[in-house]
Amino acid sequence: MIYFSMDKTSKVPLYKQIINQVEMKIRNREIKHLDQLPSESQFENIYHVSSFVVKKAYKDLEDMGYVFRIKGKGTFVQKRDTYSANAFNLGEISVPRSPEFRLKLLSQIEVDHDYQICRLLKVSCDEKVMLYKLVSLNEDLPIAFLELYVSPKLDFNIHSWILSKKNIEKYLQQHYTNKLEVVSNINAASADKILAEILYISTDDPIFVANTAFYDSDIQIAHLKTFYPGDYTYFEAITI
Amino acid sequence: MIKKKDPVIQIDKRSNEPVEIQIANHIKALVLTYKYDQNITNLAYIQSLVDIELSSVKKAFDILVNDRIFGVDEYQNYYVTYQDVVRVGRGYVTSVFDNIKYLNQKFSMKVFDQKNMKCDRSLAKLTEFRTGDIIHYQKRIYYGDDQPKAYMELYFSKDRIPNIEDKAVHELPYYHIIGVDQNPKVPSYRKLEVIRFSDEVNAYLNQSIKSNGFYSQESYFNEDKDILLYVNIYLNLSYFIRLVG
Repeated sequence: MIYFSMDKTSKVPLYKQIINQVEMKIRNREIKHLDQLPSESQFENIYHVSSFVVKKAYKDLEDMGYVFRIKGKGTFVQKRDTYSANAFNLGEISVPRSPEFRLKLLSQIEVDHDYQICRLLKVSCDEKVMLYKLVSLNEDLPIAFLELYVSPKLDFNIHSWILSKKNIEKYLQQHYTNKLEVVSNINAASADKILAEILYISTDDPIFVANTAFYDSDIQIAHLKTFYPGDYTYFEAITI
Repeated sequence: MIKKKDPVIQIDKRSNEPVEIQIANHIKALVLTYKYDQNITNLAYIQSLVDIELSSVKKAFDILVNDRIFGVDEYQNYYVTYQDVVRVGRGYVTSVFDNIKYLNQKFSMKVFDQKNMKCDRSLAKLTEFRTGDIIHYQKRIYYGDDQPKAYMELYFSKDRIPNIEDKAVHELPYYHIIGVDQNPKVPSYRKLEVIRFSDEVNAYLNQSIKSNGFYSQESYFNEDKDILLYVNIYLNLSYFIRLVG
């Protein structure tokens, strides 16, 4: 439960007091994204503040982009940074980079008989391709979800890459080949249930997908799919 | 890989949204994120996953054909048509016109709803135009092989208002008008994101309702940093940007 301190003797209107305190709690990181604010009836019971006042405060906070309301569920804190990157920089499209971001390995499995991946990596469907699933986090909120497919031809060490904090392109270049060619494409899609859960968004919400293929002398050695939550990501190009 | 034990196509039969739209949206998401195998175009297989009448799955496939995610041959066999379509050089995302040209598709354009107008406060907030500035507004749809690839809303500064009577100007992509093709370093700001399109935009792009897509917000300036043009560009889902690093 998030607590407030309401001063009925103050000249500051009660609805403004609620707004100020929510703003302050967000700034001080006392409350975080998706934390639930007290309901109108809880405010009435605990602080003896009318639902009209709470409604007005929440409406203003919603207009200011600090909270969002889900009918029948409540009012939630909206404090999620938008990731922006230079659209000319392929490294930033394939893996979001910032000193604050943390790459977390969710799973690593051997995949076989995956038609798409065998086609992409030009390997036989009997060969084992390694699939690493990772999430890039900023203050525990996902910036992007990554699926990295690595050809069996490559003796890749995922932990070494994560620890290196290097761009995947530079890492591959340094450890495996100096003839690396990178081809990326981007497209727009909708989140399925699994992506929605990982990216903290709703099913069918817009997602930005980046596909990056890494080639060594025309042979693809790895393929990276990066999924960004559309509502919290944009790419910009500035030539001013 | 789609496995029957762990279906990734889930439909909510109690939802107000028709099941065929739900199925089409799920399949579209799988194709656009490369999470599919050859069974994705198999009507009976998809029906076995979602457990509804074949006719509803067929309707979903028809939506996907309309959205150019699937194609269908003369024997009513479906196939995935969506693929890498554009390869542009050294990391630069070029114009819609260029991309249509790269694809060797027939280029055409429709200009409509054009008018001179005063910049209001909400537009001034969004752009570098000043409240009260006279600007020229027009909508455009860019076609590649007669299929809509992009829908645009353009706001020209008063110095760059194209001659409405001059048909040749309408047929040119916007950057020819402001000279970007002659000078690729023209000062600009471009922002690309993925959003849920409105029904109106999806209708212009001949896409099913609730489709998401690329939205690019672009501003172009002269050497004195005065704004010449502000554009909202909405790209069709079958439009695809490929970058080579």
